[in-house]
Amino acid sequence: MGVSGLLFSAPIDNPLMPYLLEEGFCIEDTSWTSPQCGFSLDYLIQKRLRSCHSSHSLQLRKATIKGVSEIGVVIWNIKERFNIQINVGSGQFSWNWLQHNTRVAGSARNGLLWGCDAKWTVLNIRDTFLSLDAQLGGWDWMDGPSTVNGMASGAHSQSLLRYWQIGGAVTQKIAMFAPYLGFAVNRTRMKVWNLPTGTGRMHARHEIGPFGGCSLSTGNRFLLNLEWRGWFEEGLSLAAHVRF
Amino acid sequence: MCLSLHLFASPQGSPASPRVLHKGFFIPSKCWVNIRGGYEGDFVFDAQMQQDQEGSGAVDQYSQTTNAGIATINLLERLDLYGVFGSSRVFAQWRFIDMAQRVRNAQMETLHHFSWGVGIRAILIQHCNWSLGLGGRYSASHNRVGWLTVDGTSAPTNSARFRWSEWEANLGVAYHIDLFTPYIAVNYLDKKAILNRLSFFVADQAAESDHFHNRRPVGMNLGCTISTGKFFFLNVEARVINEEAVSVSGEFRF
Repeated sequence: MGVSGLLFSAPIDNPLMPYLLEEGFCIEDTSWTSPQCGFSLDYLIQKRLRSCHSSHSLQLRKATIKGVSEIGVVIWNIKERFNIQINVGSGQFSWNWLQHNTRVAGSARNGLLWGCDAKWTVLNIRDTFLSLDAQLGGWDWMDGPSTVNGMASGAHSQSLLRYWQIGGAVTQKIAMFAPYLGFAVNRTRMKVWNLPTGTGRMHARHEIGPFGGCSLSTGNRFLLNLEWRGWFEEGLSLAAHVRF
Repeated sequence: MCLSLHLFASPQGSPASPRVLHKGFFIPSKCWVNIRGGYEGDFVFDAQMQQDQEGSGAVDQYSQTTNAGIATINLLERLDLYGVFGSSRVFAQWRFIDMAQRVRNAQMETLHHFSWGVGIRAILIQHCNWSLGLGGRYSASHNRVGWLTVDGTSAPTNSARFRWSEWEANLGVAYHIDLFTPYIAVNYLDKKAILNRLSFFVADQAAESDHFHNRRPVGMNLGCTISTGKFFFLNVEARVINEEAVSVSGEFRF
């Protein structure tokens, strides 16, 4: 029986989200608070990992993870300055690494992806905004088949992950476009077990990286956001939000 | 309030797409029929298939990529009849138990090959900015197998074939907000695939062929169309529950 680790991050989205939707379906735009909901499709192209200290004896090398997740979002907007949101979703990831010249690979799915997110628009000068984002979350009850050098192992591997992330970005509002660019710090730990090659724990190889994207909205009820993340992970996400 | 009819498939598009574009390049807006053409890219990350007939286990991974052109005939801005013609490729991974009761791991990828589909979509009810639409689509492809491995060992695939087909029906609602038309739909999907013309075992019971079938028939589509109502629209769609997939399409009205 073995254990090892995996790693992950959620889409950040435009930190200026609290400000972008000014009108909703039912609640008046003069109200100090409004609920929103959304959906996000995240494509993690690659995230590189390295073994934690407790797994150094396993000599895990060149570990990567990739996959797709779908996340539903419920948001509480306060004074168009703060967003507090809960993310719940699922996804499918595949991971692999080398261990003593043996290729260990597998998938992680059937689990629950969850997270809490806060966004705060700190200041603005005309149409230029500085905003912050903080996230905390995890990935639970993931399991899936695994292979060692391409040969199936009997039992399903299981995995677990936890992460936190802080980022800041500058957004420029240009008519219905709101492009943004920022940096994020991401710490992630992951564990995979039920492997014939032994238990392993891993964390991210790179913890700092840029992210950028563009929101598209007239400020009226609906918003679309496209985002890229680099260095600490390569990822793309597409999100849509509705204000009630 | 208006009535119409329609039918649909894999990437379903917006239930309101028959009436998203009001003006085209050549055909006058008052004409009762118009033509659209465009591109559709469909990327299925996991089709959530299971083995059927020879075996009963899950297909651990089944991804599919399709790039295609779309030709649409629009009637009265209520009904779309369309054809999709392009190329498709499939990657699949599954496990089976051999004669010695050992678990084997098989992986396969097809070459890109011609795929086609036909579909219909119609707006049933239209009220203010709301549209309720119904759709359906049939798609199929018959691919050559590029490579296949069992426990990491390459197997001969000279005459191997992989054939898939699917039909789908959906019911969705869309709401128009400025440039955007977000929508949500429920779909029913019946997807089948068969791998055959092999000379070695790839499934339980020492079978030299394997059938796949989708595990969950009912799923959900979430998407958004972006357009000013003139000449062009762009559509992005995610499919969840019975598939994990995303599609991007764009169409011009002539």
